[in-house]
Amino acid sequence: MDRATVTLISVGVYLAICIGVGWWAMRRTKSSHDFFMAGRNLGVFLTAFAVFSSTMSGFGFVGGPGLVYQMGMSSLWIVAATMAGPAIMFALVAKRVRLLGELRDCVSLPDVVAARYNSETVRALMAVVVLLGVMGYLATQILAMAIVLQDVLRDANVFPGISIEATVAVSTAVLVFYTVTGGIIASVYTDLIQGAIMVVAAVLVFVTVLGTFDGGMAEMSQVIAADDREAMGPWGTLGMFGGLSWMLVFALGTAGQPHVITKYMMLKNVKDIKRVVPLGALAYGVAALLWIGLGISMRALVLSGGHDPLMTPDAAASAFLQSFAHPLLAGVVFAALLAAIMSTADGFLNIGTAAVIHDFPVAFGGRPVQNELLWARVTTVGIAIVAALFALYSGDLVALLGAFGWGTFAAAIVPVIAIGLNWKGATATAATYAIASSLVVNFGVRITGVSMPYGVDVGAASLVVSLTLFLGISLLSTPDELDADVEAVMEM
Amino acid sequence: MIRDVDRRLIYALLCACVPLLILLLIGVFSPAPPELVPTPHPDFDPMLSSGSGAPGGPLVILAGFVTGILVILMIGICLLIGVRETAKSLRRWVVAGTVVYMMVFGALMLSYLEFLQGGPLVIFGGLPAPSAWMLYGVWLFPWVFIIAFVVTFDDVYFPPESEARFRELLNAKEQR
Repeated sequence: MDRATVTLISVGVYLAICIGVGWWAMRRTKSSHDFFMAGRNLGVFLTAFAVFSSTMSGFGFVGGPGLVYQMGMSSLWIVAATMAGPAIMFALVAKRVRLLGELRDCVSLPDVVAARYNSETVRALMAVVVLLGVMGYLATQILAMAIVLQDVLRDANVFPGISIEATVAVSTAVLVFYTVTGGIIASVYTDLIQGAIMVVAAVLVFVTVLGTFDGGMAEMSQVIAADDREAMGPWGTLGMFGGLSWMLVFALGTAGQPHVITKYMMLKNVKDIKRVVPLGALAYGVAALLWIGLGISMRALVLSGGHDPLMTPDAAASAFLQSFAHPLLAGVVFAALLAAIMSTADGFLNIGTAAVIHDFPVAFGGRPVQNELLWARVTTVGIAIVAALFALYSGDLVALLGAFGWGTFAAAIVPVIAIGLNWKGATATAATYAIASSLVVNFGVRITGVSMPYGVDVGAASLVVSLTLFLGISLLSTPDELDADVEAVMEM
Repeated sequence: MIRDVDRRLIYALLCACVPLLILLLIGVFSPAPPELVPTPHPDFDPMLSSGSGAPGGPLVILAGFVTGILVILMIGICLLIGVRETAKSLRRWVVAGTVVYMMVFGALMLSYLEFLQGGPLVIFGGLPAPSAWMLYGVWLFPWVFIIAFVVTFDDVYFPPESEARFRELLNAKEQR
């Protein structure tokens, strides 16, 4: 059986499993609490792999190796931040969102900030940030899913002329099916499968990578450095400030990703945090081997004439798999690639739905909608369709919102949640300014086309601005009155 | 019972943010010279090559060193904000870990200065020495913090008295 057919079968089996999990989870989803919070009943492995899979999106499996191919070592500062991130999540966020979530029956991050700051304005602003980020992230993930599926079908010569609209429809339909029927329960169970596929694929690819040069990684390093010494140095071609700004926004910013934080709210037992954090970090570390190895290998292979030059950096992963991987491995990795994309997309779909049917009605009407479960399902379909149309027809806007993602979440959420849940002196006014500044700086820089100096990431700049405003305004204002139960949780 | 985070930590975090903002503003008003900006690779576009003047002069490298130390300081302060003041052993562990983390970054910078001298590459674990410091040092070191939180979990992070207090709160909620 040829490579393309094996890949097609692997991807088909994977998509069928997702649909099966959705069908199975439907019977376990009996309320909106189940739909959004999995009944707050998740165990260690499910939560750890849901955290890891949601963090490692398609960006890690496609964009990451592409960045190493393009810039050398620069993007590995994102990887370098991925162990500090879970440590900060452990210290600042995991326990407090879990405790507050149960105490106040929170089903979303805006619920948590509303409880902490006693402010519907902060809740509404947080819901706006979540929804904007979700639309951008979701649209880019749907587009990525569709492109992968189109490549797989064309290579296998099954539907060689299939349009991108058709693959958007098919991939969105699968995603929508299991998230609508099974809600977050289907999402976390598919995350477990998706995470396991990613870890296995990363290890196998890394072993394959080591065999592409007789001298292994050392020879690849020599080849790259001989062409451009800086590219193989710790800062790559982007330079010191680009790398360090990535480290800042990805280390601190991990504690500001809503689709990741909400997973901790679903844990059955608070004490499981001590197993979930290390397990999730370990899984991410193993999966990052694909990012590191594949990226370095492709740059070295092209420079040494071992592979044709790539048309786009993002082609690095698929080009490597087509040329060097065993057909079965290529099939597993393509399934892993779809898994990485879908595991992030389903989490976003869920928190976006919560923002629309729970957070906005509560912020503006004082109470949630009637029959939340039904409306959650309807809204999930609606958001997915809007995001799919957005992906196909919005042109530059989808790129703008896609780029909006991580950095804006970090700037809006790290001060307000990570610091705010630990420091009683943080005020609602400061939270409002911090969230607003995250939107203004990120959108402002991208819309005006201002280029950041020395390769500094705009998300990092935005995070420093919002953190400074949050701390400064809180220090200058009178602390708000806290509810007794919230204060008690903050003292634990 | 500790009532709130030590305010000095909040001031320290603010003091770490302000110099980063100042560095950013300096960068905005004196942009990088063209020789520091990466350029398309002459043969393999869209691959990039580093600028001909990379990484820049001693001032740029010094500013990079300061930035790196500030970033690690912010990580350390954030970790400390999450640790109660009564948890002396964990706090000492986090403070010591942050200092060692800074030393790891310092070692990376020293190794990088040697790397800039040219000459044969010193390879460690398949990577040039400063890049090895980055991946095997800066990336993996925070496991020290994760392990510290795991080891002290039952005594410090979520001790029995916190668990009991939380149950009281839940009971009170159910009775309302």
